[in-house]
Parts: sequence; C-alpha cells; structure tokens
Amino acid sequence: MTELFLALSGIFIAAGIASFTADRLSIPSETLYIIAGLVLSPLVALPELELLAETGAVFVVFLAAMHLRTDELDAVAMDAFWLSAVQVLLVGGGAVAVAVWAGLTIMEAVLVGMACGLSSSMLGSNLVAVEVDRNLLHGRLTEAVNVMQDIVAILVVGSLPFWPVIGETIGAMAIVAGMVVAALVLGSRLRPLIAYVAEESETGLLFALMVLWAVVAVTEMLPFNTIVAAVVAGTLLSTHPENLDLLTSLEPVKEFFAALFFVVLGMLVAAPSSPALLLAAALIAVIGLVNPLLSMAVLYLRGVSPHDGFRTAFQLDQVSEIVLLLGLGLHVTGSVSDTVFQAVVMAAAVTFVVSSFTTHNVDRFYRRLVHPFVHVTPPVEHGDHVIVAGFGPIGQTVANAVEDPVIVDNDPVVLQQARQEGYETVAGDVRDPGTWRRAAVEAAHMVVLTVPLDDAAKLLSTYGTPFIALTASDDMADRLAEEAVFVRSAAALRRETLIEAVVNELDGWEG
Amino acid sequence: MLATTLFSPEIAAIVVLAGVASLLARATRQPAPLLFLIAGLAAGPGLGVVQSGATIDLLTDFGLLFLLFLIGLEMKMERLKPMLEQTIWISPAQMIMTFVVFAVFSSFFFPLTAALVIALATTYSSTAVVLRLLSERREIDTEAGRLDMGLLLFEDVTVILVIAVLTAGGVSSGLLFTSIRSVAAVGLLGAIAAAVAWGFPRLTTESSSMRSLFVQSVGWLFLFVGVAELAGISHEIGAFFAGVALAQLPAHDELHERVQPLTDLFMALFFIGIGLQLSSTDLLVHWKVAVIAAVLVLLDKFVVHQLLFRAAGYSRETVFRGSINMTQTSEFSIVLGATAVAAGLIDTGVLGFLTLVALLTMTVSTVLIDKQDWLFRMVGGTASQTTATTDVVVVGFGSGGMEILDILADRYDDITVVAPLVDAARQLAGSPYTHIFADIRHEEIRQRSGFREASLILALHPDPETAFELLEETERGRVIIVTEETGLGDSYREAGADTVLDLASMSGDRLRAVVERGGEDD
Repeated sequence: MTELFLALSGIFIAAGIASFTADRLSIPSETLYIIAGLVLSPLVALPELELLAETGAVFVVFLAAMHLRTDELDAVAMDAFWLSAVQVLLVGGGAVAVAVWAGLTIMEAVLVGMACGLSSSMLGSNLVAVEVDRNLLHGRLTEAVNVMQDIVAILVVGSLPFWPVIGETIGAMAIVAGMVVAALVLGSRLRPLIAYVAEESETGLLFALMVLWAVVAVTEMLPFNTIVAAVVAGTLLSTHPENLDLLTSLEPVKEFFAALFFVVLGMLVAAPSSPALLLAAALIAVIGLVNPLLSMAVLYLRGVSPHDGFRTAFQLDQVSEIVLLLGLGLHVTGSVSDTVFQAVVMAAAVTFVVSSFTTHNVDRFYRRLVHPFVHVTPPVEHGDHVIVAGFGPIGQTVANAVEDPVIVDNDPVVLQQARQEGYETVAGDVRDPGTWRRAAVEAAHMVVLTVPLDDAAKLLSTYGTPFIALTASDDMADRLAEEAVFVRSAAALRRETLIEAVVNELDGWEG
Repeated sequence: MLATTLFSPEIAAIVVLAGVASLLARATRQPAPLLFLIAGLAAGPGLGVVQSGATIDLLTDFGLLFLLFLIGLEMKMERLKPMLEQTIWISPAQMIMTFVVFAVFSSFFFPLTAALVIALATTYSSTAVVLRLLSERREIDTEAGRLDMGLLLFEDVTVILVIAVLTAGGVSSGLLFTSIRSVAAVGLLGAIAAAVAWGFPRLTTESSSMRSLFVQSVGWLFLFVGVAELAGISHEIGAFFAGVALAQLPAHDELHERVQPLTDLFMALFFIGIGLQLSSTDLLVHWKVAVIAAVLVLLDKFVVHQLLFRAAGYSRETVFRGSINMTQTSEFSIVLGATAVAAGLIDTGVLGFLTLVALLTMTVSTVLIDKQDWLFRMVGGTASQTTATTDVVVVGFGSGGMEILDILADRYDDITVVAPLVDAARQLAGSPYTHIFADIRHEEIRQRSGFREASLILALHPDPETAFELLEETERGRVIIVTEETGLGDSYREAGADTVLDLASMSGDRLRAVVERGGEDD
C-alpha cells in the first residue's frame, strides 16, 4: 500500500501545482494535468493507476452527461443535427478512411476518426458556462451538438466489439439507443426521487454513485463498455433542475478523479515518439482548423449568421473525453499502438488549450478574419428608430417605454417572444458588426444596449449614433463616458439601484 | 495488488449497498455509519455475496485518510480557542473517568491489552450522531449544543494521538518507545503544518477558484501523507495535519464542504468494509458482555457528563440535554478497533464487540436524543427559549456589499455575512462584520449564522430554493430578498418575505427613466 500512496502523493501534488498554474494562466487545468503526468512519468509507475484512472474517466464522462440538458433544445435541433452529421460523417468518417489508407488498424482508425469528429461535452459546457448566457444561439447549438455526439459516440463504442458483422452491429446499436431512450424516460419519471435524495448531500452522492455502478453492472452483462454505461447513467440523472444539488455533491468527487485520470493519461504518454508527434500535429490541424471551417460552412448554409457559426464552430474544436476513455481502454488491452494513443492524448491536451483560447478571443478573431468578407443588407428599413439590444428583463422594461423599438437579441426563444409581442426584431450577436448593420444602426435615433458586454459597447460607440449602454466593467464605462448619452457598468447600475432601495426600505420601516 | 477494477461486481455490490443504506438511514433517521455497518455485515458474513479484498482495503484506507483530513479541517485555531476554553478540563476529565470505568469493567472479560483498547475506544462519543441530530433539531447553537460540539472537537484532537500510538509499529517495538517516536513525529508534522498554514494562504487564495483550491488541497493532503509515510508514521496523521494546515485558510469552510462529499463516499465504503471484515462469530462471540457494556455506556456517559457539567456550573437544562446527547460510543471506537486489529493488539472478536456496542448505543441514544424534550419534562424541567446571537444576517455579498453593510451598521449592532466568496473574505477582513466563508445551503452554516433568530435577513441574489428555505425557517426577523429573477417576487412574498427587491426590473425602470428623459440621470 505504501508504494501506491506515494504514487498518489506524487500525482496529487503534481495535480495541485498544475491546477494552481492553470488558474493563473487561465487555461483548462486538464491540459496541465496531462503535462504534469508527462513530467511525472519517469518518477512514478504503477499498473494499478490505470484502473483508478479508468474510474476517474468514467466519472468525468458520467458527470459531463449529467450536465447536458436535453430539454429546450428543440429550437436548434435541425441545425445541430446537420452540424453533428457533417462533423461525424465527413470529418470523422474521412479521418477513418485516411487512417486506414495510411496503414492503421481498424480500431486505431476508429479512435482517430472519433478524435477528429467528436467534441468534448465536458469542456464545451465549461466554455459555454463562462459565457454571458448559456441560452444564446451558439450556446444552445454547442450543447445540442454535444448531446448528439455523445449519443453517436456510445453507439459506436457500444457496437465496436461486434464489428464487422453487420447484423450484430446494428443490433448492438439498437440496444444502446434503446438504453438512452429508456434512461430519458426513466429519468423524467424519477424526478421526485432525484429531488428527494438531492436534498441531503451524502444521500444524493451515494444515490448517484449507486445509479452509475448499477448501470455499469447491467451494461457489462449485456455486454457493453463502461463508456456506454457512464453516458446512459448520466442521461438518467440529467433531469434539470432536480439534479443541480446532485451535481454540487458530485463535483468534488469528479475533481478528484478527473485530476487522477488526466495526470495518469499524461504519465502513460511518457516520452512520445516522433511518429506520434506527427500524427498529433495532423489531428490538431483537423480538429482545430478543418473541423471548424466545415462547421461554419454548414451553419452558414443553414442560415445561421456567420458570427454565431464562428462562435459555435470554435466551441466544438477539442477531443472528446469519451475518446480519451476509449483510448485508455484500447491501450490497456493493446488494441491500439502506443503511437496512436500518444497522438490522441497530445492532441487532446493541445486542443483543450487552443479551444479555450479561441473561445475567449472569439470576437477579435471574428472581426479580423471573417467580418470583412461578410456582406449584410439591413432588413430594417425605416430610420430614426430606437434600437433596444437585449430583450431580457431590463430590455423589456426599456422597450415598453419606447415607441416601435427594434429589438436585437440572439436567443431564439426570447426573439420568438418579442415577435409575439409585436416588436420588430433582428437576430444576432451584439458583438457582431453584421448585427448592427442589419438593425440599421447608423440611421437610428438612439441605441439602448441592455446586454452588459464591453466589446459590444465599444463596437457601438464607433457608429456615431447616440447610445445608452450597460458595460461589464467599470473601466469600459469610464472610457465611454464622453461618447455615451448614459453609460454604467451593470454592476454599478445594480449597486446604485440596490443601495437606494435598501435605504428607502429601512427609512420606510423607521418612519 | 488491485486484482479487480473498480467496476467489478464486488465493488458494484458495495456501492449499491451504500446507496440503499444511505436511503434507509435517511428514512429511519438513524446515523448513516450504523446502516453502512449493518449493510456490510449483511452482505459479507450474512449472505456471503461480497468478500473483503485488496481493492476494498484500499478504499477503506482512503476513508480513514479523508476522515482525518476532514477532522483536521475543523481545527481552525481562532474558532477552536473559545470552544476549547469552555471544555478544556471537562473533556479530559470525562475521558479519564470513562476510561477507568471501562478498563476495570473490560478487564473482567478480556486480556489486559484488549481491555485497555476497549476502554480507550469507549471514551469517545459520536460526532456523526450528535452533529446530525443536533442539526436536525437545530440545537447546535444552544448552550448544550455548543458545549457538546466543543467536547467532541477535543475528543477528535485526541483521536489523532491515539491513532499515532496504535499505528506506529504496534507492540513489537515496545509501546513506550513507539509512543515517544510517534509523538515526536506528530510534533514534526505539526511544525510543517504551521509553516504551511502561514505560507499557503499567501500563495493560493489570491486568485484561485474554489475548484482549483480543492485540487490543490488534495495535493497538500497527499504531500503530508507522503511525508508521514517517509517519516515512518501513519499516513492518517499526515492527513490530519494537512487538514489542520488548510483549516487556517479564509476559505476553509467552503473547502470543508467540498471535502465532505469525498469523505462521505470513502467513509461509507469504510464502514461497509468493516462490516465485511467481521464474521458473524466475531460480532456475536461476546454479545452478552456487549449488551451489558452498552447499558454501562449509556449510564456512565450520562452520569459522568452530568457530574462534570454540574460542577462547571451550567444550567439545569444544559446539564441534562448536554449529557443525553453524549450517551453513545463513537464510530471512532470502530476506527480505533480496526487500527488496533491491524497493529495486532486485539483480535477481530474484540472489534466485533466494539462494533456491537456502537450499534446498540448509537441506536438507543438516537431515540433518547429525539425524546429528550419529553424526558426533560419528565424530570421536571421546563424548556427555555434560545436567545438571538446576531441582529442582521446578510446572505451573499455582491457589488455594493460593503456600502450596504455600512448602511446597516448605522441601524444594527451585530452583522453577520454568509458568503463563500474570496472577494468577500478579502473585503471583510478587518471589518467589524462577522464573515462566514461558506454557503448558507449547508445546515451547519445556517445554525452557525444564527439567521433564524436574527431581526433582519438580507438575502442578496439567493437561488430560489435557498430563498424559500430561508423564508420557511426564519422565526422572527424581517426578510428582504434581492433577486434578479422577475416573476418570483409574488411567490417570495407569499412565502413570507417582507420585501422583495427585483433588481432587474428596478434597474430596468431606472434605465427606462433615463431613456424617457432623453439620457439624463436624475
């Protein structure tokens, strides 16, 4: 036991340092875990770690599936379907074909194909979570694509052992699909129970683990891989909002196992060979460039604005955690070579960082790379109008006070509501110059920006139209103070309003 | 070493058992460790479905590790001091008296070493039972509750010394020698912990997210475990001191809450593992003595606590309730028993005995604690009201938080802020306001904040579920809820909120007024 404890000490100390560093560099800690593993590999080696790491990975996949919301996706279902289809069939399928042609085994080719064609729900939901609003079009699209791709992933993983016998393969896929449907149905039936167990952290945690382990036991009997079980169990417990407390109790357990998994993954890569580096570079090019470009094209053809297409595409450009778990399993059993395994893990490490970087700087890239080539004709014809950007609670209040405003928003559900209330609407992101042009911003009498985004406020100030704006930072509010008719950071507006209200309230009681 | 993966049928059986036991514990209001033990006993010796093995041993090891880490995390010096001052002589006196009683009692039935281990194990009362029931009964903040929590805390501290002695090489190298060596090693680790406690906050809390802080803490945990291992003392002690070091962080409450689930998980597996290790003969070999011992525990703990509390001059009610609460042995008695078995000091029959005593006393004392109001009336007492400990509780701390506190401070004396935010910690450090760095969602935090008795509760952007719970549980204070979710205002008011400030629509109104005036703020 001593040896194992020392190994774990090494791993978690490394993970601690990695997570500390990742925080400071604002990059996903998973990547630094992998790098920590690379550094650690000559120092620590224990076969048992793979087993613990597998548990960790199953946990990560399970939690990612639990996070996915299957409701409220109807609005973007078709776009997401086409996007998933192109990514999986064209990019993934293409990669499989090239890999086979290049002499890899079928298993290796499948792993490479999945690495290229599937993106990470775990990272995707992290990336969307830092966004202003998960409900924006690109947020919804990302989530819907993640759901669809996870299902595709377990269909492939579940049927893998039965290839190439067509009947059995299709049978296996049918059973896996049946399990997903059963999980969705059962999950919604279990809502009251989930709400009950979630009330107490310990019961909630042990209940969720019981579900996971029970589903694993059942799927293994069928016999399917633990990956299938993890996704199915996660789907079963994905009943939002009842599962929110469950997620909170499970989070630390996941962090613990995720650190273990990613560090061990890095340790298994050890010193990558040069063919592995070459393959990793190719994978990164496909995942980071080819895939997003194709995705943008698909979304453009589907009528999604270039800006939303761009944002969505660059949130779906990483290796999926399911692929890493599959890779680990195949590597342990010797079904894939060291080279392919190493390449996939390294591609994951790099794409995690790249994807987080592109997401955080997406507007800058968009304005430099795409916007100059986008031609927009404004659908709003009349001039001297008032534009109200953002139709949230604040936007709605403002819109009420204005005659015939043009509403700009990016959430399909909200836009629908605005149209029903009789407003003229423009769909688009306020950080996208195309959106403003479509709203005929230069002919407008006044613009009220109620979405507190610095980039949007700054962009708005370039049109010369009088504007009232909320910003994210006090800094930006100060900078725009001269140009704007009225500008406050959202926090400052809320702070002022709150303090005034509390003082009134206390005075009222005393009076 | 690990013959199976963690997804083997055996582990699956254990995890499912843990889930079922936890549901049952919740439904029957019995302490969860008890149900885990019973589940383990049922699955192992009872039905023979699961055998103890290397993987299960590893998981139980993790259980102990995280348990002691968590105990260490409770050792925040500034909070410890006032608690321990109250109990500084009561707790050791209780432990010594109970130890003597049970050393004498056990020596009639067991060999000397076993009798001493039993006596030691019996001195502890159960944090799991007392904390849980007092939380449910909302009595942690009563005088009796605080007194008992102080005693339990002191007992926790001594557990670490006992484990240090028991694990450091067992009997082979001589108890005295190992004791000295362990105490020296503990001192060494304590010094490292102090150093870390001084350096770590400067290093980490400045910009770390909670998520990252948690992983870093697990890193520290294993660093201490590694050092302990290299120093030749048990890794549990390392875990304890890692916890002590981190307990001094401003974020320690939230860290504690984050470590809790992992501990819950591994402890569940630990107790099931203990159940699996025992055979039915182990459990029942001394059953008659165990029944007598259980009765003796109930009497001894009640009487000894009564005497000591009375001597300390507590009120009649506190003496009675404080004593009733402590009438059981602890899950630690099983932990210590298991450690002693591993060190070769006792056989599994004695562990079975300790387990049975714990099972019996925990069950009976749960009933006693539940019925204590009735019992107290039976002995002629009258229940008293608890008094307010704070005037205002502010839940959350957003932008403008400090200004609002200052406005409130003009009108109220004691203000407590409950917010798990690093930013709040930084701003509130050195301010006259009490800050609890944790989420009000946790029952323990609710007790400590004293919001139920406060005269004003200001909830800044609570999630709706928490808001409704707060409204339901407030006893006499006014409640102001600040929210940004339009549409909840009426439900909040119906649930008893005196004022709902819908910040989104109020901000909207303000902006609308600006628009209407053509851009001029008033």
